[in-house]
Amino acid sequence: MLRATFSGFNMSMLALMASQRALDVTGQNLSNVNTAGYTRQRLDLSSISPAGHSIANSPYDAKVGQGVRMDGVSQIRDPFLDNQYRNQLAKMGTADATTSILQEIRNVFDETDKEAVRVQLSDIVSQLDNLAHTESAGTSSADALVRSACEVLLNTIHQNASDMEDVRGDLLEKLETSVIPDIDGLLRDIKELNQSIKNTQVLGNPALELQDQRNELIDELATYLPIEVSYKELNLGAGIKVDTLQVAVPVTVNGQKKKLSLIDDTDIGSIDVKRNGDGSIQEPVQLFLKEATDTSAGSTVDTGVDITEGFDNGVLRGDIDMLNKSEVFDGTDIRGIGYYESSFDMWVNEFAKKMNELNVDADGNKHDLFTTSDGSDKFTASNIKVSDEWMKGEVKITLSTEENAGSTAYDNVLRMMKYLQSDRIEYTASGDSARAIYTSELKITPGDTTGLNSIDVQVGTDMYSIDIKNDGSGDLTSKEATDPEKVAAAIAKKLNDNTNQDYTITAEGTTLVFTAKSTGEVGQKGPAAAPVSYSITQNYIPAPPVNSLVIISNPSVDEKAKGEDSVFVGTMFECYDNIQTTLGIEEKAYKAIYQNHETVLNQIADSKDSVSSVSVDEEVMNLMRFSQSYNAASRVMTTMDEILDKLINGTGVVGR
Amino acid sequence: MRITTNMIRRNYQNNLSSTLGGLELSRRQVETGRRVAYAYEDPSSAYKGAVLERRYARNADYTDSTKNGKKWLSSQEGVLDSLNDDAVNIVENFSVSAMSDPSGDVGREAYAKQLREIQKNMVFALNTQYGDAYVMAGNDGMNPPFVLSEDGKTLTYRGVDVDVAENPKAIYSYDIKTDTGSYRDSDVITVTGAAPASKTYDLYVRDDGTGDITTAEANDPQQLAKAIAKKMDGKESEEYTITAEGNKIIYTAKNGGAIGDTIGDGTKNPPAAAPGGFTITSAHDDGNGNLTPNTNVQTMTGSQVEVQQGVTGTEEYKELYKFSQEKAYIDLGFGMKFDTEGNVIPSSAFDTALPGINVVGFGIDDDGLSNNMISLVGQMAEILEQDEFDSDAYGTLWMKLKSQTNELQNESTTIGAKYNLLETTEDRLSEEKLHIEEQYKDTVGIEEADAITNFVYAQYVYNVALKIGTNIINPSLLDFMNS
Repeated sequence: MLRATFSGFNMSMLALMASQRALDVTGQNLSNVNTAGYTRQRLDLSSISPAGHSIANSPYDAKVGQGVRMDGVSQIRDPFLDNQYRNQLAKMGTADATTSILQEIRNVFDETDKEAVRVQLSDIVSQLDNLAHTESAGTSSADALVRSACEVLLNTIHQNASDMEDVRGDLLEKLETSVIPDIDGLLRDIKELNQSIKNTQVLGNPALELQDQRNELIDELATYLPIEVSYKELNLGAGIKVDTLQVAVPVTVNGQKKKLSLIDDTDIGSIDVKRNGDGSIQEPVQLFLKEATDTSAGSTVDTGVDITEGFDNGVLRGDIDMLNKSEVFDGTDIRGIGYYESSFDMWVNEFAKKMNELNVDADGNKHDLFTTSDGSDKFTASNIKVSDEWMKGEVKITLSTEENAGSTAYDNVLRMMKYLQSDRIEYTASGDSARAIYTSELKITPGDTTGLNSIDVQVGTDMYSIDIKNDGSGDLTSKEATDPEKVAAAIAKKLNDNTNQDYTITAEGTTLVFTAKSTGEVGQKGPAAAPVSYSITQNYIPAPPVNSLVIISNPSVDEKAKGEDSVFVGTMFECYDNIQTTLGIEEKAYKAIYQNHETVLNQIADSKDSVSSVSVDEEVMNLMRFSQSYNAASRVMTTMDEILDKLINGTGVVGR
Repeated sequence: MRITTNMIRRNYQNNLSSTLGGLELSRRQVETGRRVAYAYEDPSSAYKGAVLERRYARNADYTDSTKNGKKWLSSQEGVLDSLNDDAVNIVENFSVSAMSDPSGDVGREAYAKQLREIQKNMVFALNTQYGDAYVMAGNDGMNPPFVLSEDGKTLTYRGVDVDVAENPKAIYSYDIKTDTGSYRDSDVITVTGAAPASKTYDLYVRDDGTGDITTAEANDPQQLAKAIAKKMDGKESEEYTITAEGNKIIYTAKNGGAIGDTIGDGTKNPPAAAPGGFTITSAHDDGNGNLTPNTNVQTMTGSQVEVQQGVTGTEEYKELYKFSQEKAYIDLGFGMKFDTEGNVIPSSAFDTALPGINVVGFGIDDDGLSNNMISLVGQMAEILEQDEFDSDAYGTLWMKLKSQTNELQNESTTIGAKYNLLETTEDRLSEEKLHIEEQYKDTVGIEEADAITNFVYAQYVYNVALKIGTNIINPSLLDFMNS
């Protein structure tokens, strides 16, 4: 084939242009070396192959490529690492939120290096000790010293209570003014970007920088709650394809795993919390998610899905758990703000109640040292106060409970000291965490079970049969049926499997025990009603033998106990220290979790950087590389020029 | 792995900030002297620290109490010393012989006046105060415990006359009745006491003097009663003294009070129950050890019960007794414990009470004499004031006062022992304080050398990190490119 005379120039020009554009990309990379979220770009080049075949194909000719082609500028990014990174961000979000709240609680209860409740309680003991000496027992100044020590303690207790309210209030405010609006803003920004990216891509621009921005926003969203990101290719026709973004939130609602769509291309859902009439957040916090696909007009809370307990990680998880849960006090497994508030209230209640109880005279009259400011009969850290009577001096510490005791007998003061210092007290979480327990004793007289076909348990109009089969296919064998405990266990199992969602039914010996699954009083927070009664009959074929097995059921069930949960057993001081110790252990644990997550996150970030981030060395090398290739292309052009010069000006001039 | 500029910078920043964190921590430890500032840094040490702080506070309380207790005991001791001086003065200078001085009435009157003064002095001493409280007032420290009437005859302790007789004692008497016949030589008289002990006491009738009783004595109810009482006393009952009076066996309760009643701390109970009496049987020994029951003698128990009424002041005595048992415990870290009735277990705390009546005595003894020193002094003065000097009566009072003085000295010894206990307690507490301080330092404090070394090392590491930073961050290929 004949080579076009000037074709070499074109090739050189492509090469010069490619090198120049590559230097531009390198420049862009170097310029953005410190831009957050910037993904390094690359000029995609391919070589131009010799075009087609010629009719003048000759075996004596060779085909050479036509130079270099710029295919486009692309990003170097690994979507798998992005997902990993975001999952880790959500996990870190939980730990971060929890740690920062625990830090605030620590400022209230951590008395490792400060003098507060513990020292002040100790001072009360010292003042009581001072009162417990003959020379001061009868003086009113010694009594006043105990009282002022109590006032000091109460001040700190009130301070702690209001600090804890602040912790809660601050967190609610953060949720209201920062977290929820922030998520809302992110969703809107992402929506805008989705639209812009689509518009740009339609014009053939890859919109790399916009995608970087979007990825940054998605990363930020991922710190709040767990998300799953996917892209869908949308064919706009005429060979134009654009990527659309889908963000889903994996949740478990009513025991079912679901993926709720939060962003679907340019449609976005919303997240909000239930509010009171005045717009403040209602407690306990309830979180709702309205899906992107939900086009109804209702508000997020009205039409959305309640996902309060539905997701695992993220700042929202940490914040909501800390606000809503108080472990043993509400039967959850997380020690939130409520746990520390309730522990403290429990301690204050025990202190005030017992001191009042101990302050009783020889005639059994109680003289209250402490009262509640709101008239409630339960003391809390906020309502405890020194009784007006004590303040006025109408009531004093009762020195002795002996009849006709002398003016300085002080046996009662010693009892108070002992109570504060060394009495072991069982602290119980009462009220909400109480669990209803009912028992019903079966009177079973073991006997001959020959011909016993089934034991029938009737609950209301429903009949459940315990089949007696000797081949093992039934619920009991007739031999087993002679053992009262096995019979009771079979009845309990039958009832448990078939009746009453609210109670777990077990057998203890021959007594059926109905334990409420949820805490709280029957008819309120706990089960809706007491367990129903039942009756038991034995079904013999053909007829019962002499001395047959007799089961007399007690059809009514008796409430056994409210089932107060024991929270802590120990002295007053130990119980208060326990708050600090628990807090310390929690914070230490969460800090460790946070650090673990952080380490993993850093590793993933390293991997991400390894793929996507700009290396200055590499880019500078590229500078050299592309400047060299530019130079080389110029040389190619010069060479072409020289040979053409030879051809044009130096050819056929022999003899001139 | 492809290493990028930002990766290096980010990791460098993370490491630098954690290095700075370490520097900050070690700086804080050196500055505050504490290893642990927040519970989360080391929850268990923080908890131990809290416990130690509490023990430290209690130690300070106990130490205060001990020091105070020593002063309190010193005041009590001062009172005892003063009382003792007075008592010794009387014992030495107011003996019967001194009173029998021929100088006569005038001299005795002067002595009487002196005694009255001493008597008042003793009351003043007993009403000594420490702080706001009267040290000898038991549990009624706000009020002066002793009041002496104008005429010096009546002394009251917290409103109760100290010269009251003890509670009446239960006395039971059983007649020994001999119906017919008589005991013979070689008889054995067996007395069986009441259940539950049901002990038996054998009296051997031997005329050769080897037995417990001769035939003639055995046949005399009064002699028989005497012999039986002698056999049974101290063995039959711990609560009763058994004596014979005429032909009666008399059970006298060792403690005052109604049967079954309880006063005081439980050790001074009156008898829990009436004695059950006894039966008497006898047998004849044929000389070979074979016993034949006697049928010709019937010696039976009487069943008449006679309770002798008390003289005066039943309730008052109880009241004084109660006062004398009062305790004022202070907590010195002996692990104060209470019994089931809510009373302090004595070994678990320190008793600082010394009721004045324990020192000067109360009640009336079996001879009708006051047990109270001050009353005795008053009575002595009274005798001296009379025209006729009754030296016998005076001598009896003087002897009684002398014996009471010994009691007083016993109390002094007790106080001394208690004071010693406080001293050792104080030593123990100050030692414990050192231990607590040491433990506290080990638990939450720093070891200075370690902490400073750590700090310097952290500083060094930080400096190195900075130095490395300036070395790595800047240079890149860019710096080596010829432009």
